[in-house]
Amino acid sequence: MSLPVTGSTSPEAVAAHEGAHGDAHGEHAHPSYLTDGTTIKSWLLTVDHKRIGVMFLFFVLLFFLVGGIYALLVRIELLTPGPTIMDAMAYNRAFTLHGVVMVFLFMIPAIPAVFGNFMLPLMVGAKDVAFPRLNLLSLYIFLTGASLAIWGMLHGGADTGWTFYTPYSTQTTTTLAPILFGVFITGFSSIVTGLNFIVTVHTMRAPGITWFKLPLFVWAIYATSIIQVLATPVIGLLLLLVIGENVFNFGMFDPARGGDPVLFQHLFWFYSHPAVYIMVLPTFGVMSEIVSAFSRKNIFGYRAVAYSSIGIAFVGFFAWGHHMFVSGQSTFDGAIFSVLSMLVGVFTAIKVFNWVGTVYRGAVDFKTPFAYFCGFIYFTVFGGMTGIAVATMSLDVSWHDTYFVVAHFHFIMVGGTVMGFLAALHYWFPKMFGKTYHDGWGLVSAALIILGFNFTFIPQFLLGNSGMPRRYYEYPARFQALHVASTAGATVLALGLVIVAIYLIHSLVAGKRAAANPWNSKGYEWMTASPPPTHNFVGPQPVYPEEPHFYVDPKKAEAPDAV
Amino acid sequence: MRSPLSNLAAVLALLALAATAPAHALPGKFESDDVIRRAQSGEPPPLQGVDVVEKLGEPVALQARFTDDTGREGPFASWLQPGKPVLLTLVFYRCKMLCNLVVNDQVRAMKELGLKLGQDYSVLTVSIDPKDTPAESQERRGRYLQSMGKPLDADWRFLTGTEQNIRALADSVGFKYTYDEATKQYAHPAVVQVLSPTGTVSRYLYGTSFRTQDVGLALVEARQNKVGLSLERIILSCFKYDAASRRYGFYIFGFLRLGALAVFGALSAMLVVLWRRELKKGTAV
Ligand code: HEM
Ligand SMILES: [Cu+2]
Repeated sequence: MSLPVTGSTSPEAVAAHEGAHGDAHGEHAHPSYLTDGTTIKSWLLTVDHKRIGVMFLFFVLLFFLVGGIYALLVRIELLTPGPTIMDAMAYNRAFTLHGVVMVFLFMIPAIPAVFGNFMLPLMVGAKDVAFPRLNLLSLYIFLTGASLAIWGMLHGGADTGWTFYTPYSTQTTTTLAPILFGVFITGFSSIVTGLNFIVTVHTMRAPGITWFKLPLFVWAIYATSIIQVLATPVIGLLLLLVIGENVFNFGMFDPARGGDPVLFQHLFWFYSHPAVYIMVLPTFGVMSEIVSAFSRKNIFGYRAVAYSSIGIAFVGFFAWGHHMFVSGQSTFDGAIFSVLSMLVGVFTAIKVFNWVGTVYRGAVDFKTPFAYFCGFIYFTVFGGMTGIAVATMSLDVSWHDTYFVVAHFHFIMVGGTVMGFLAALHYWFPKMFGKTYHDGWGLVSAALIILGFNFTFIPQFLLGNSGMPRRYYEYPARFQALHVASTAGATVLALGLVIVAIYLIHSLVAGKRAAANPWNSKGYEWMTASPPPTHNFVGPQPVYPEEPHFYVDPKKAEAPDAV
Repeated sequence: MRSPLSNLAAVLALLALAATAPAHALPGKFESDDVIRRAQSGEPPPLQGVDVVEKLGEPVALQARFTDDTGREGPFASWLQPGKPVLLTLVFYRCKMLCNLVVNDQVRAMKELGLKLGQDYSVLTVSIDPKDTPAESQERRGRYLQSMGKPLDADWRFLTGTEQNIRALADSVGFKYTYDEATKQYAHPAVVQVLSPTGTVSRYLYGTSFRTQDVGLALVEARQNKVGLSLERIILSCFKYDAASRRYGFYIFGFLRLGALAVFGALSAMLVVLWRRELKKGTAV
């Protein structure tokens, strides 16, 4: 029997399915997508967006684990000023692997490919994405690229850092080509997924869901998809050029042969800066959903939040030069990039104000996802402020390529993405698997993760500010205390993640059956059974409310409870 | 879905580049004559007074008078045709070696070229020897056209003129040559000038083994004053003349611009279609 929905405000549609699922026989006419076919083949050949999302979840978590292990290896190595557990070459490979895996195999696909895939069709009231087969293809493209990259890493690995800067990357004798080619292939997965989402949002919305009734997560994924489709080809081309240089030695980046060494950096950051929004915009979407669900209020300034996503997507394309203040670009260019970068801060600040405004006077239900929301606000504000600082040309000249920058991007990009990913995982876990987890452990681990994160990276801000360069194997003894603190923090962070893994796996195996809508959320994705049936809805389509996050305003007591 | 295409284009371009690279690495075919060896390797000529002083963008001596192989006499300008860039070679008919090498390779390139002689460009060959005659012009012309498999009315004229007129033309394109009494031969650089349809110098193609691609690109570039966006113009945007190597090089930003335009265009087109459909149905807002 499913848990009763306290003070149920769910629409009739949900109530109807509730009854159907309550029998716990698994024999009823509409099995959930999880039980509709249980053979391996039924998973591997599925075109169900939900199953594809779950498979992406599996692989993305796997890569998160791999990247995390390498992060810990790097941190352990830095415990002492001299060699600790590996030699210099192994260290170079370790941080390169960590960066490549985390960026291309975890952060970029994490939220769109997993939760975008699973939730987007539910949120627009569709039975699936616009091109289900293409969707499956994108999973296999991703796996092909990832396998190739991992194969390359196991057979020698690369030592260039995830940025693959020329001229080093054209000369290194490590096995760079398969890694670059693997990353190149995963790019197609991004593009295909992005196109699929764009078309889905346009053509698959249920009657009555107009653009301004779309959940904000959909807006965020839409904006992300546009960046993915526009920017990914650039890095695709660039990676090919580097492979060409590395293998055939064309001299495209070699000034002695008429090439341009800085060209690489321009092209790389033209993709990689927007890529940070590919990572962080979906998080913004997740947070918009969570903040209104757990404050029990409609989002404050819906349109501002929606438009600022598009604004970030747009300005994000013109900020890449802030990575190149010391690469010989003119001071004038630098100043322009400096200003444009700060504009991104304005759009982000709009969102932060709206989120905080949503919490204000809300009836906050402090559950695990909300804890991650709080962590996220903190990391975004703190990381964003340091972002404005490093976007200031005069300051960045001294901070460039130091641990200050490492700490900054971990705060904003990793803090943002990891908080968003964990928040989404905890918020939608009952939706995806129909199970509950222990909220107490959820809060404890969230606290450990947020705390650990601070202990890892605040020392790195201090290290960078006092001159510790990035990607160095050895360092002067006076930096050791801060390095030890950072490693200790990383351990706490890892512990928190291990706890999450334990209770979520336990919940999958032996967890209690979750109610269809355990949070009493008004999100459209909750208007069907949890886990949803294969075709998402049974019977008539749900009736969508007038506004996307339609919570009863406490001030308007006379407002109807349900739609 | 254009982006995979643009990536594909880049792969193909890379392969094409890889395929052409060894061709330039080949050593010269004639070791005997030092002048030729130098010309082939792109080295500057060793002789005093033999050089090319580039006059890019400057008009040639349009008033200098010549006589062509049909015996028609007129100013240089009278052989220019609207819309057609010109390959101009300066040779002398008694030349033992270099002129033939230059013109033979020009013929080879013209044969391989996608552009059509007479339709997309014309060719003028001017003798620097005042003793050469229209009759000799005609004989030369017949030989080359035959070897190219072109009809005898093809758009390739051979001009002769007086010392003064020849010098005027040669100076205007920066073609420096001298007469060597001992061998009774002219010493001159190995170069093909590419002129715009209005008779300004647009490019120099050096040596005796031209890259067909360079010849084509130079012609397209010389035609620039023609309005409109042709396929060649688009292709040209992906190559840039490199003054150091004196070749057309791969211009990455050009490719990028094209790729970006294609991707951006495809995405915008898709969005426009999707939005219009929705606005028409009234389901958007
Ligand atoms: C367990 C927590 C983590 C620790 C202790 C950690 C530590 C580090 C360290 C020490 C570096 C090398 C800095 C350098 O010298 O270049 C680094 C780089 C990096 N980390 Fe992490 N990291 C952690 C988590 C993450 C996560 C979760 C992500 C992404 C989701 C991430 C993304 C990156 C990236 C992109 C780089 C840049 C690599 C490069 O410059 O080549 N890190 N990290
Ligand atoms: Cu950036």
